[in-house]
Amino acid sequence: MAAIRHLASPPLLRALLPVSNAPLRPVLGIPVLRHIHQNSLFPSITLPIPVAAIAGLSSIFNDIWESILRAVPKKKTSHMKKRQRQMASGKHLKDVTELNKCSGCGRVKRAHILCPYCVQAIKHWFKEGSSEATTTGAEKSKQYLTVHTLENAHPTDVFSIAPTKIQLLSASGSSTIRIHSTTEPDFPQIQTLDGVHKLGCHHIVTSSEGKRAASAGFGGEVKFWACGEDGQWTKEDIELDVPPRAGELWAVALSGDGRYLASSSYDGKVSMWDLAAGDGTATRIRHYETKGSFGTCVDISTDAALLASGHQNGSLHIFNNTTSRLLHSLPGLLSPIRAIRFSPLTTLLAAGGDSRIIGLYDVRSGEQVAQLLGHQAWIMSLDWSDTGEWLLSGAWDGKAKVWRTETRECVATQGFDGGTVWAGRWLPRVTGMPERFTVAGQGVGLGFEGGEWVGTSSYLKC
Amino acid sequence: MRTPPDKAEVIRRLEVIFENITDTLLANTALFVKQAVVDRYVDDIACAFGVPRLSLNVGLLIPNVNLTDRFRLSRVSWILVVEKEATFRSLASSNFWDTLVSSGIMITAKGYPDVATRTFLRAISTPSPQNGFRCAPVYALMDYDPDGIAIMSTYKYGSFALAHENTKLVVPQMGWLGIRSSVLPSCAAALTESSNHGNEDANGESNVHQVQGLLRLTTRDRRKALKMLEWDVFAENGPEPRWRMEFQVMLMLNVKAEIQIMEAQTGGLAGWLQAELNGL
Repeated sequence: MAAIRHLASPPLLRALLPVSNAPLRPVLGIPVLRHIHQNSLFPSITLPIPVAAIAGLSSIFNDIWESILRAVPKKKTSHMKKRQRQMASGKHLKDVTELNKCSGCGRVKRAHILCPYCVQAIKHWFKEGSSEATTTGAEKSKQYLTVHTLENAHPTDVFSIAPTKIQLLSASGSSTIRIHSTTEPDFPQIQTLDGVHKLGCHHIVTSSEGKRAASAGFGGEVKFWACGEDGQWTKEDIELDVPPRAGELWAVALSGDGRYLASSSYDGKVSMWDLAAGDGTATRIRHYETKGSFGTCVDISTDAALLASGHQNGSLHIFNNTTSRLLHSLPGLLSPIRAIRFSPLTTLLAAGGDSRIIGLYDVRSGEQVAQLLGHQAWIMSLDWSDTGEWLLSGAWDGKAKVWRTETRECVATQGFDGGTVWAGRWLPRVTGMPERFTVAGQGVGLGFEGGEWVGTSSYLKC
Repeated sequence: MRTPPDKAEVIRRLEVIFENITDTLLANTALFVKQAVVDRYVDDIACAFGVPRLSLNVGLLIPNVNLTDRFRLSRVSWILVVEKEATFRSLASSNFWDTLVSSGIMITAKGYPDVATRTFLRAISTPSPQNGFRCAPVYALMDYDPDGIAIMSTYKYGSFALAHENTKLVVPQMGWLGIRSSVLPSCAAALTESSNHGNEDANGESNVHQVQGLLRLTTRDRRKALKMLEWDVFAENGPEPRWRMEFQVMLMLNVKAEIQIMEAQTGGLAGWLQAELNGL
């Protein structure tokens, strides 16, 4: 018997298995041993049996030890071989060729399968519908009421407006810049700057502290204006040190403190000018070349560290003024960009144009983080509220929309008589007053002379 | 066995071919960069077939007007001046023409007008014993681009080159029928529609714009527009505030449009024109 034979070598067993030195009772608790114990032919001889059993067990353990000690990994298929087998001809992922266009949204989708975009939209709609029933309307949408409309503020289209804390500057196809007070309920005109842009003025901008304004005319000239203590604007004698040729310069933007001016040009060049010298010249301190497509719009961050430009061919660029380099060339919207704007904290960049989509981009990463869909016509203007909480957009069809930045939802749509909204701006927040925005553009009118207007809207909480 | 086609049939077929070729050439000026290239091709084709340019239906000149000529214009209720021949021919061959031919006159000088055309237009539009003192309204149908407006300006206010003769040639009562910036939204919508449903390309935008006749302003266009804005006609308190405004809008949008763009609309160019004329 193997058990008997092994009985001769308890020291070895003891050395290997400390268990055998322990009292026997617990050992007998092991089911296998108990089994052996019960089926033993000699139930009276209690001592030798467990020892023999332990000796038998040790041989099993020995085998296990043997296998553990001698274990080597099984033969493993090499990565290359595995890949070769997996990628063998005929086992590739197959191209999906059964594609067609979704009749709902026109996007490409797999045939016989629901369009994921439309399904998403419907899901969203269901969710909206149900949540609208539970939440109050005030949460979802806002209402803005027209506070005042200035009919015929200008004899032609108002192309651009720029607010300060107490005033609104407006520029149009006429040669005159008009300034209205925004502190009084009827927005009276307080000053006109006559005959300043003979061919008309297409851009007017103010610095956020409201002390300086810059206006660009169709002739390609830029003029600077300073606001005195009495709120009257006077011309500043500042000339650009590299005078642009006629029609070369287009959009302009001022930094928060009014020290830097950004400009775009018809051939896609983007420049930044420093007005601080005080000797009557604006020094061109940055000059970026792009691919030569018309620079339709430009913006500069409040701290002047970043510059953004939008182009006719749909490209978008962000430049870093500290390093004088292109920071991001953003995936554009393919069709012309017409408006571009940094959020107040320069975290987001909004861009819109002929694609009728507003793209929101993360300034740091250059990724598109959202698309705001809803406009039915070319988007002509964009503006962030002071806090960056709201985004105002104006479109060719006379619609202005307010978007909540956080949820990327349109919370209000205002229609303005079907004329183009050339410009829409938030008025700086005044404590004790509701937030207000101003839109300007063209009243369409089917006659030969359209009525032009500047409307100021203000919202009322529901 | 097929019998050889008779002479008349051959001629008829050639006519169709000519018509198609010339139409294609004239309608796709953008494709050939400039009119001069198109002209050259037309000449080449005419030469290849051994026929004069006239028989390609390209070019039919307005005769000189003599003092003794008399015009009977009793049934003419409007005169339409068209910028270019492609539009002229497209209108003349449309159904619209069948219904309205009895009430008006359509005329084109193929671009900047020559003296003969201007004389003729003035003779039929300005009341005089020659035309029985009829004074039909004159409308201009031009491209929405600096040249289109310049051509209209030439008709209405005369040219610099012939300043001394302008008083005898101008048609100051001319009105601007189109096309103006106000049609762009619907065109843009149509463009987006068509671009959504096929017609897409790697460089989608330029393709769509060019095919449909909505083009970007070139540097030359912008310069020309700016120069023209400085003309007295376009001055702030000048005679044409509407022209000035349209120029500014054109510069703002950096877009120009050819008349053909209206073809993409429902009803086509002719339908649109009919509606416009009825509305006036």
